[in-house]
Amino acid sequence: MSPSPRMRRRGSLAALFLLLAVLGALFAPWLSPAPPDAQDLDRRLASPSPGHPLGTDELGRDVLARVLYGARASLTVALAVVVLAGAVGTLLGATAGYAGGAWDRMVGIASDACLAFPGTLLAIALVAALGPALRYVVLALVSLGWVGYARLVRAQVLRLREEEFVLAARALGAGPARILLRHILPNLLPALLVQASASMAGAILAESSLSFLGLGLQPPTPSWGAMVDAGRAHLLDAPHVAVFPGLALSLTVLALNFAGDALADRLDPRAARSFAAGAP
Amino acid sequence: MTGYVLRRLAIAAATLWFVASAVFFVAQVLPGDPVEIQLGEGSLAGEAAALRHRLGLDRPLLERYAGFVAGALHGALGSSLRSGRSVGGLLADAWPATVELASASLAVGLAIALPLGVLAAARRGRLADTAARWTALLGVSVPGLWLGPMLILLVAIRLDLLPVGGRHGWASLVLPALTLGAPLAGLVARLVRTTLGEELGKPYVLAARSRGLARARVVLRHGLRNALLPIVTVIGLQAGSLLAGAVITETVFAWPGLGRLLVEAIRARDYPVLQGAVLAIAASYVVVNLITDLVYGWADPRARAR
Repeated sequence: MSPSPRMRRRGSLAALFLLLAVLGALFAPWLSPAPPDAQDLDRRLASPSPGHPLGTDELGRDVLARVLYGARASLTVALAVVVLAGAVGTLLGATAGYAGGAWDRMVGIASDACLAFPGTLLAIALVAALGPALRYVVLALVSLGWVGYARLVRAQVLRLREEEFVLAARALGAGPARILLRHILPNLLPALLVQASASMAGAILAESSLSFLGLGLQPPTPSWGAMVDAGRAHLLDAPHVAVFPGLALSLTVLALNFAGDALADRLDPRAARSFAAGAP
Repeated sequence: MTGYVLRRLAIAAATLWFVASAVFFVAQVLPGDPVEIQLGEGSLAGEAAALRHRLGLDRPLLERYAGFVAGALHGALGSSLRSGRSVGGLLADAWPATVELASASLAVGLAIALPLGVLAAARRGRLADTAARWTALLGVSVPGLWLGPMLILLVAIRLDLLPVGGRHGWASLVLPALTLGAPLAGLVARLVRTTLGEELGKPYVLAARSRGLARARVVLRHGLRNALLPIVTVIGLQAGSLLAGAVITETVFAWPGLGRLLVEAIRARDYPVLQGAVLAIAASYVVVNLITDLVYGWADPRARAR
């Protein structure tokens, strides 16, 4: 079953939006009308105008510039979390599923312990304890994010290790490391890609939540969550300060969810998550 | 069933003990000396030593840990470094507000999700189906930290229909409950659509329809009843998450609950309150999950074997 045309169109639109977001973040210095921390105190809380297409904030800084630079922060954190959590989770899940026994039970207990506790709260507590810095935000989100990958990979490895091609490789004398890396891992890639798209949306939301609470990136580094928080004080006189960064955040997460669905549909139609798909 | 209940109770107790220990030991390595925070920099050495003794900070680590665990079991969690009030008292004041908000969010989420999910499953590909899919997608994509301020902007400021924040009667509950309930509505609408859709494709539904039963009766009395178990489980698990998710919503709407208490404690580096708030939210989460597990085990005997 191939993805429906509507699904494909949505997937393409989402991919296009994400590409634009990445390009916007990469070329922020050239696309911004002004540097993100340049203050123009005479033009504080100015409405959108040709000089400042998205207006200015409470310190007279260009909102468009800060939204573009904020994309850098969000995407960097999300990418780092997805790569690190994916690597840790895949390693633990694959070795637990393949080796079984005491190691499998230990990984199982650790992942159950992580799930027995509300993730947002754990991230808040961790960053509150360690201090508001980019590396601690990533560390907190990785220490929660690996579980999803580990459970997914373990379940897949349990299934794959009994497949004939794995038995054949073992009969030919291949060791566990070779079997996992050369034979099992390539078969996991589609499922891992789908998981990565979902966890990237989750990481962006979590990073913005931490920044919103003042626990993420610290001023003057722009971050979407912190920008919405600062804009809340000016909802009455300058709503654009909170509207645009939140819109960028919501559209990015929406696009990631769409892209993830389209990807799931394309790579494995039977296991499609069907956020937007017509099929269950 | 008794073995299953005991096992679940043991897991819940172990989780709480683990959380309490983590909270205690993390607080020990935190930057910033609580005595210095309370007295301010440049305090007299004698004054600091006296306070250190009064707070029990001059005792060995394990002795303090034992004292902390014993105190936590009795609800004695120390006193706030900022206001001097007992942490137990602060938590007791904030807890009802969070439970009220979480319950209202659950009600709002279900009031949106159930009719939408049922309509979407019964009318695949029609308007209700599209509405359900979009609700699901927007519910999980638009974060509360933005949805909340946007609702304040449109409903409270522009239309002047509801209060901007605070906790003053039911009117002030509407916007926070909508903000916190939106992701739940999205998730449950999608789940109802999928599970009920699967049920409606089964032969017994066709048989019921062919015997002349009305469509609505078949969907609601037969299909929905059979689809309900996984839905109830997810609702239970999500109810726990609502308590944790309340941190952002309570901050946005100045709702005086546990989440706001936690955020204020973080900003003021008020560690006893921070510990207490984390423990209280985690304990509520664990208890809700425990109840969900027990109900699930009661309703589906297969779950007890796991």
